[in-house]
Amino acid sequence: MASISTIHAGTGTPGPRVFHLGSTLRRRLATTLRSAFLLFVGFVLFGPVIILAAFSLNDSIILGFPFKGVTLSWYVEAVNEPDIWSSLRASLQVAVIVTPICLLLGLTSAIALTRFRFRLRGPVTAFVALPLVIPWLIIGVGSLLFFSATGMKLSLLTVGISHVVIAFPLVTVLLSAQLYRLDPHLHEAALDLGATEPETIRLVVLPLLVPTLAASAIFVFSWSFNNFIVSFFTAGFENTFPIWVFSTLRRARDLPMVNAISTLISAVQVTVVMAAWQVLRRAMDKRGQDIREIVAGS
Amino acid sequence: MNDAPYALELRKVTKRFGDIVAVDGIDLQVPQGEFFSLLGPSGCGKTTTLRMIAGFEEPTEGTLLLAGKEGNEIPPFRRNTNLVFQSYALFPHMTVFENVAFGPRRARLPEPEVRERVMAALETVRMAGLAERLPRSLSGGQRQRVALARALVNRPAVLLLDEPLGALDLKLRKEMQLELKRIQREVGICFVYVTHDQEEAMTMSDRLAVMNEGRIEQIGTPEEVYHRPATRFVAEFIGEANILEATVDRVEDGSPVQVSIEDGTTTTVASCNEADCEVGSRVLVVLRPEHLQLHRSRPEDLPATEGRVAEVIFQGSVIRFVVERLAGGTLTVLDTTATPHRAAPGDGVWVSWLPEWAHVVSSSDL
Repeated sequence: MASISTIHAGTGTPGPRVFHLGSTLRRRLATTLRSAFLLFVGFVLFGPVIILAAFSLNDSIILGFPFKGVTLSWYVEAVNEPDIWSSLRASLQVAVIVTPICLLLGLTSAIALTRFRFRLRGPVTAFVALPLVIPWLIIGVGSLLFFSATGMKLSLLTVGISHVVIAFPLVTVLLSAQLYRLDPHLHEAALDLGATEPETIRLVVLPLLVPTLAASAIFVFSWSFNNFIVSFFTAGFENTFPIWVFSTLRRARDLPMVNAISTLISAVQVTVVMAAWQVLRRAMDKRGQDIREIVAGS
Repeated sequence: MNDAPYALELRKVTKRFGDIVAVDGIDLQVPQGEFFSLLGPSGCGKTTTLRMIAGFEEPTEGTLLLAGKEGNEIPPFRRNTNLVFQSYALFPHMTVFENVAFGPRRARLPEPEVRERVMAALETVRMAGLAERLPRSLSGGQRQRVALARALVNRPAVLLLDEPLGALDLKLRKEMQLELKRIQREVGICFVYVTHDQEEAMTMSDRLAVMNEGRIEQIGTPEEVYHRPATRFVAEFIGEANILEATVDRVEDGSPVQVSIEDGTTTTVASCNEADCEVGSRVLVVLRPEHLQLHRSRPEDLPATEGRVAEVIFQGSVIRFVVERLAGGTLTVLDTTATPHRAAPGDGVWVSWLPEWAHVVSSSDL
């Protein structure tokens, strides 16, 4: 066997040249495939949004090619639709109230779970994280059953409560990860230098958590603002923006208007999040922290 | 300052974590203004001892006295002690100035005094020029200095240091050793320094305690601990030691103890731990490598043992000979490279020592 393979290798003198040619071809092919793959992923990710935005400018109620002409009339119609504004206000109200509550619950639970050692810490951690893995549909249906069983009238309050349930565990997880990464001696150093426990939290722990808190706020806000499934089951006769979108979609005539307002809202959200991120990055820079710490660890 | 004779005193202090005894009934007294080291291998209880002094752990048994007052249960933020952490634990979101000002501000000192004290502390550690920098833009050695200033600025009765030089490279470590000693002399505060590096402890300490398995094996000046180790553990942990088994021949008041080594050589020894020295008891003779000398033939008026050179290792300022004894075992001999005579591997030699450098410890902890 050994001798055969030796002979084989020995006689294959043109081999390297063929191989060389092949490798150039292969490289080109690989580059082409890579680009194609990237294009495909980009298309799948952003295609729907781009199509949505494109058809919001189409002068026709039919979502299909060919384009009939460019118009802003759908935007005018959307802006003049009172239901849009009331549903947006409802969504905004819920998100604005849900966000600080989630931050507070997330912060206290994260500090408790990382700093204190108590019996049942493991089970409690799992319990807190549970809403992150339960499908929102189940949480929505469960909340509906819970509220009707306890006789609570469905309203924006019940929407807010169920949003807190789904969103605060995310804050707990993000903050716990950051707390674990902090040097445990920072806390001891503060105590050693004469700070009481509350002073230590206020002066050392919290400032180091600010970036993570800010990132959490962005996440919670958009989860709450954009949530459809859970809101759908718990809103009763109230309309949040996603619920309004869903109900309006059933009338084909209004489709272009939904496109228009959705495009607008998406653009606003993207702008706000990006601006918040920039502000955060500058603030952290000034304090000697790197924004990448939030996602990648320090 | 306080009139108490000791800045710090531990009486029969024990710390248990569950079934594990981390610190086992240790006693020690550290006077005001002393540079004291706790030296031992990892897991010997030295860091636990330090954390008890700082207030992060409470002794299971025994009493801890800070400036003469019982301090077992004083929380860390009310203790007149400050700890320099091995990881420095500088607050990353605060400038050097803010880090150092953290303690004085917690003590509610007026801001002008805070400023004055912080700058003085930074001056002491030669970091005044970098007061507005953030910790992440400092080198390891600079962070070390800031951590030191942050502790010193509070004028603690006892400054505790937990292997503070462990993360620095060798050259910087040597520099900082001298620097720490200078600062300690300058501020006159009692330093308690934890390290596993015996050379570091010897360089800086006025006195040191050698710890092993939660107990203190010996407390003394570096010279005492080096020349008259209390146990075999101390002899081997501090510096290098050649250990020979022997039997005590003669103990008389006023004259040196005489022992005989198992190959028949008899020698008087300079010192002997009292409890071990009874005629007929089995003991160990401790000989430091630099106190040994090589001879081509048996020296006439010195105790000596015969062997063969196994290895010659040139180390720059010193040269190291490993000698296999005919009676079994090996001896290490250190000589300066200034000495002209040389021995080569395979040479038959005699290894002699001066009785005034020989020391005897008990063989009970073999």
